[in-house]
Amino acid sequence: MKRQHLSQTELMVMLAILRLGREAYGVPIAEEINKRTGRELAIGVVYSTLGRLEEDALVRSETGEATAARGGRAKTYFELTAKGLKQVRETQRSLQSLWNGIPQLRSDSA
Amino acid sequence: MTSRPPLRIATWLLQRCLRGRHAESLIGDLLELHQEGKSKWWYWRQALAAVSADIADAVRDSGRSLIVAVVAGWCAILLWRELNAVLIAHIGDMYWFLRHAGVDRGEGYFLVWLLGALLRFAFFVASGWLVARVNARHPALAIAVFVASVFLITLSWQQVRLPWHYAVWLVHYGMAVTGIVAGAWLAARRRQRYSMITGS
Repeated sequence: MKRQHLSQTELMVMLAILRLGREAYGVPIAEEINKRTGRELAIGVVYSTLGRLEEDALVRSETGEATAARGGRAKTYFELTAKGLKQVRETQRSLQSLWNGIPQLRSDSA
Repeated sequence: MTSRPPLRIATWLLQRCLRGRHAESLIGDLLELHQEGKSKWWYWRQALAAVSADIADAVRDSGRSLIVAVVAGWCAILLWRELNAVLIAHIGDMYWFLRHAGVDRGEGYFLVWLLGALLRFAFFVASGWLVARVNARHPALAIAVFVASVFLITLSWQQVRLPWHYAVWLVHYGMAVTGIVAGAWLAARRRQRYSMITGS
C-alpha cells in the first residue's frame, strides 16, 4: 500500500540520515535530531521509526562493524532509498506550499 | 577509557522483549553510550522506552486483528459459561446416573468435579489457541491482552467476601492462564509445522 504521508518523527529521522550520509546509525541519528531540533528521541523510538520506514522500503540498512564497547554487537547503518528520497521531496513540497504566502511567517515582517 | 560493567537485567529485558530485526544493533548502541559515560538510569530509561515503542508498534501493526482475537477468545469462554450452566442444571441427573452405574457418593462428587474442571480447562486451551491463531502476527501481544482482560473481567464476576474466596479465584485464574498459554503454544507449534511443510 502506498504511504500517504510521513509523520514528523519519520521526517526528522529521514532528514538526519540524509545529513549524516555514510555515518547514519542509531546513536548519531538520535544525536543529530537532538542537536538540530532540541528534541530528545529515545534510541528505541529511532529504531522503531527506522523499522517502519524500512518495511515501507523508504530506507535500507547495512550491517557494519562490531566493537567491544558494544558488547560485540554490530552497528546497522541506514540510507534512504530512491523511494524514500522521493517521499521526502514530496513532503518538503507540500509543506513549502503550506508555508508560502503566510504573511506572519515572512522573514521581513519579523 | 575504563570499561563499565554491562547492565545485565536491562540488557536481558531488551533481548527478551524486542522483536525487531535491529534489536541487537539497538542494544549495541545503548551499551556504546553507556560505556561513553551515560548513567545506568539513562540506560534503564532507554530500555523501557525501547520496549514500550516495540509494544506500540505491535499494537499498531495488529490493528483490528488484536480486538478480533480477544473477542474470539471471549466467545470460547462465554460458550463454556453457557455449557457450565447447563451442566449445573443437570447435576442431580448426573449423580443419579452415577449412583445407578454403581459409583459411590464420594467418587461421584469427584467425577463430576473432574468433568467440570477438565471442560473448563479445555475451553481455556481453545480460547488461547483461537487468540493466537487470529492474531498470528503478534500472538504474544494478543495473549497478554487477553490474559489481562480475563483477569479484570473474571475478578469483577467474583463475589469476594473472605480471603479464601480470593485464594479459590487465584487457583481458577492460574488454571485459566495455564490453559490459555497451552492453547497459544499449540497454535505456535501448528504454525511451525505448517511453515516447515510450505517452506514459508
